[in-house]
Amino acid sequence: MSVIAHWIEQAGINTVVIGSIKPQLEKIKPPRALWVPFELGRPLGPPSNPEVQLQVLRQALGLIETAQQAIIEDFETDDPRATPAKVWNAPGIDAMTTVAEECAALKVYYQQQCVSQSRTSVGVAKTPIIELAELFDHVYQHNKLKEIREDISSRLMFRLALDDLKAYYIEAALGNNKQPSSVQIYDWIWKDTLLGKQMRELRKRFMESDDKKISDLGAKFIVPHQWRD
Amino acid sequence: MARLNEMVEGLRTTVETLDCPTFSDAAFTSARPLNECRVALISTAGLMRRNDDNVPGNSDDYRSFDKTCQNRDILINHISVNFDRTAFAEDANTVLPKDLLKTLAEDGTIAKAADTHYSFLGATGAAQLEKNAKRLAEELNELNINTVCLLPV
Repeated sequence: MSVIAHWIEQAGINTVVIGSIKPQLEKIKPPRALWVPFELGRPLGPPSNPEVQLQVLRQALGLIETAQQAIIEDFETDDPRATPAKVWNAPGIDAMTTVAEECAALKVYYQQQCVSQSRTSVGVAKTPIIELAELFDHVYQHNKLKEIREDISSRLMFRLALDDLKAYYIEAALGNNKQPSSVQIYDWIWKDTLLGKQMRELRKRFMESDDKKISDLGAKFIVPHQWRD
Repeated sequence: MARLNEMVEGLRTTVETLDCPTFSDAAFTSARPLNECRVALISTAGLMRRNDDNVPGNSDDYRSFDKTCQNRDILINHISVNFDRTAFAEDANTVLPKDLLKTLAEDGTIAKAADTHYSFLGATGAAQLEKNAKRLAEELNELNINTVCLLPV
């Protein structure tokens, strides 16, 4: 967020923002900014491509040395990973009747990715993935949130569960190391998996709730704009 | 994808109408040779350490990631569903490029990569962040950091 740059710069520290939304950079006018033509969520651009990432970082930091007044510069190279990978195939799993079954079938792909990267982005819910899948199945089948931890509301727990389930599916899609584009991964999740189809359905059901917190959860925090019906 | 004309309508409307504060007293610190820069990173991805408490949905505070913190310890805990998470899942440096910053320090491009990097929750209202952003600026000065690269998601 470019406003933070102002407050840091006021303390005598040089700042540069790497930003993806040009109109916001133009409105807020941080001291120095590099606009990048990348998808939101990847300010350094293509994953597993340190060459391009270093180009971005070098150009951004270069503004500290060269800019004599507030500036917004463009990074000219598009993200090479925005192009669909021809060799990628979605994880080969049969149609399932529950998300818990689907998660079990995807486990081998997910584990491949964890081993190859020595890390996982799953973990914000601090709960085993199979329990999160079972929570999802319960909520979908009963159309009602369920409390599974005393220290956290059922609404927040469900949002964290969705984040972890999505991260698990993303890593399963990455598991064969064929470097798919984000669109390929999200196409598969939102159109082809049981989880994706049921999240889209659940969004519509929640939005009809008389409870504003539930309708907000459905409206804003389940399905990205791009995949909303 | 971050070009407005390539965004789906709902997302484009959201980013176009987002309230953006302006500054009449905008600060601008004089240019500095790159090889004198001691650089820290500030992400607004709502990052958390795996074993820490979750980032509250309206958090105005920042989290610190010191040199004991490995990429495998860092998670995104942002409330928005409207940004790509596949890149971070594959490569944490797309969001918090601390390994790349070390490369630039090792090849002499910059003077030093900070030992500690930081993250706010970018979804929090700008005015709410001011107090802790200024507190972080004091902390950075105490640590002798003279340059910051900010990375919104």
